[in-house]
Amino acid sequence: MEVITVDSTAPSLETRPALALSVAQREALLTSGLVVGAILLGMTLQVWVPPGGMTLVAAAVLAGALVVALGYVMPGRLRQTIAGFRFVATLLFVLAGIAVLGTLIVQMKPPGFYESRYRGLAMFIVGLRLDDLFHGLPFALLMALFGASVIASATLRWPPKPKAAGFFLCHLGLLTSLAGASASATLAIRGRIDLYAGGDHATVVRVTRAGQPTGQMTQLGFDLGLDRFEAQAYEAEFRVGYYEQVKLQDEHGVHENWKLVASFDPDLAKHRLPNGDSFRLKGIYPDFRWHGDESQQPAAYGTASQEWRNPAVAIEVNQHGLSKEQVMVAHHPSAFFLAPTRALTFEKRAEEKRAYVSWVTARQGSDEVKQTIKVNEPMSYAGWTLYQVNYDPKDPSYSGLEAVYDPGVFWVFTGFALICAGVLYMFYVQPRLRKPTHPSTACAPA
Amino acid sequence: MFQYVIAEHPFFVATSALYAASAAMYAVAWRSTKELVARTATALMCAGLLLNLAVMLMRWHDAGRAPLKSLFESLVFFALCIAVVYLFFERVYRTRVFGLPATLLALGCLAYALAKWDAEIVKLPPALQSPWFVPHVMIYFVGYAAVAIAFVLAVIQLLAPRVPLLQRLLSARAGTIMTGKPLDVEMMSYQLVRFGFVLLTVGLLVGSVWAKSAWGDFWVWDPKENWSLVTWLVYAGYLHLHRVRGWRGDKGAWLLIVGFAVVMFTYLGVQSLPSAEESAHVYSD
Repeated sequence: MEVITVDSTAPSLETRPALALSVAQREALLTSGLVVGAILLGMTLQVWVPPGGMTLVAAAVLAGALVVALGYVMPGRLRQTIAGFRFVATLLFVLAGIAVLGTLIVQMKPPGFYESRYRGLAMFIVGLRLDDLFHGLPFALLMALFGASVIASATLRWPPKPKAAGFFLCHLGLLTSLAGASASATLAIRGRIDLYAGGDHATVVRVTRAGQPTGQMTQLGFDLGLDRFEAQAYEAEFRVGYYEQVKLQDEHGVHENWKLVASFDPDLAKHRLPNGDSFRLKGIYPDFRWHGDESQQPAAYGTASQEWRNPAVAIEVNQHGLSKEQVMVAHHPSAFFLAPTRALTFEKRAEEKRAYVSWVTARQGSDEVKQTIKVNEPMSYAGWTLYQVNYDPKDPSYSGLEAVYDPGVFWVFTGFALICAGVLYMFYVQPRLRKPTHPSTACAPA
Repeated sequence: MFQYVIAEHPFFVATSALYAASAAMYAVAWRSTKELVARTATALMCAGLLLNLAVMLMRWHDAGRAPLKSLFESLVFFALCIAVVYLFFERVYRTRVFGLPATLLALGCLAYALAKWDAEIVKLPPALQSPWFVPHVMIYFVGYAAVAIAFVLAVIQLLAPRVPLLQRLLSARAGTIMTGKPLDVEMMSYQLVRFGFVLLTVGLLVGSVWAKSAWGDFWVWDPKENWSLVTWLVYAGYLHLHRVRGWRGDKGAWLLIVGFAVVMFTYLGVQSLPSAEESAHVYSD
């Protein structure tokens, strides 16, 4: 932050603190007026203007341009105020407050949701458009002030100097990201494509907003076919599980349930249990077979092979100095009760998904592209990006894809890169460019 | 449970013991004029850090993935980050005054990890199988560690005028200050926040790039995203207000306390929000 030279609250005459206080007070008043005014004006106007991407962008751009222009033509310290640290900090805290409010009130749900969830407050939430805070006019006008502040502070420091490069990079990055986000908010199209493996095709996208279908369809511009889909799981693993009975409360009331507290890989080491008892596996049998009669004493058993076809273990539990033995087969789960509320089992772990893979073919005229789409590995084709977002455990042939056309994202990420470069430069390069100052002035106590 | 942890996870217990011993030695160093005491505290902290790293690496080996998935794993990593950032801080500012609260913070993370013990190591779900996962989490936690120590400094800054012991500790007379000069706590916390803020910025933006590659949207106003943004906005506000007359001293220190409270809520409290039900971000119990 050392680059910045404009401190809007600095006294104009060092020897006249009374005047300096008055300037600071006026700026504080102007700051409050602008911020509160933006919120109130936005809340009033949005009675007639519903929230939405276009509302957000149009209002932010128009109001931002107006504030910047007013900064130049109006007498007084409007431009200095909106470029000042106090104004920016105030705005940042107010935006933080709105972001917090957006997590206390679930956003972008149908009105019925609010009635069932918030009861008496629903009318207030829907009426004040608090159900879509981040696309509404109050937020748009605050973003306008933020944009105006960035522009005003940059123009006051113009032309850029090497020691202010971080500031300019950072603020250029903010504006670039906001411009890209605006393009995304107004021009981006996103929607769902549901396909079934075996050659199912799609040429249109079902447009969605906040994950909900809007009823609109849009052309993909190419033909997308799903050749194959797999929900791949991690290799099956077995464990000795230690369970305790716990009380759980849900919408049906309080009931008792068994909770996995500790898990042990099947090995021959001695293990300590959370309740203080201990156990060890005397034998591990990947392909368990009884030899002769199960009831014969002593029991005879072993493994038919080293394939994990029918895994079982012979477990020896030590409780209070006494040993007990039991055979436990994973495919026929049985528990070794240490106490009425504590038990050991040998079992197969629940299946965990490793990947969802769609093998697709995209055709446009004579062009044909075959590719896989996975979570985190989308496919880009003809301006669209296709993401793996859904599957149906009951129908292994179904694959849910998200199609996104977003012309703003490049600029958003360019802005991000500029912000990172600017912040790094501002905090770590710029201080090294400054002439050394006297320690007492460099680290002046408050 | 404690017997089980000692028997089954001895390195975790040893790490905690080393941090506890380090905290005790840092506390003794507040009173002692012998440099050996303070050096021993640092050495114990370094040993704790190495063992903490070993715990992480062993977990990485056992899990076959970076151990940053569950709340338990992240707490163990947070303790490591606090130790790393603190030791770096101690080296740069040449003071051991803040060793006790820093080790207690690391120890607190491990104690909470004990309460949030994983029943078993879970596999990495497809959404987390991204090259952005490890840098995103690591950058964030180093940033969190920096603002955590800034929080400690802010608390000490506020308490120092009221607590003679702290006042004496921050003066040049304290044996834990290696430079022989009084400490400017506010300047140190400001520089820690600057360091942390860079990481919070990069972490936020890396997370956004990851979200785009995973779900097709760089920002969905998810509660965790929102609270990460709130964290960023609060510290950005602090850095701006640091330049405003009247916002240094106690007011700035209070802001750092608020900032760290927001960080902690972002980390641990988001799942309690009504909007968290649909979030793909929160830690599950």
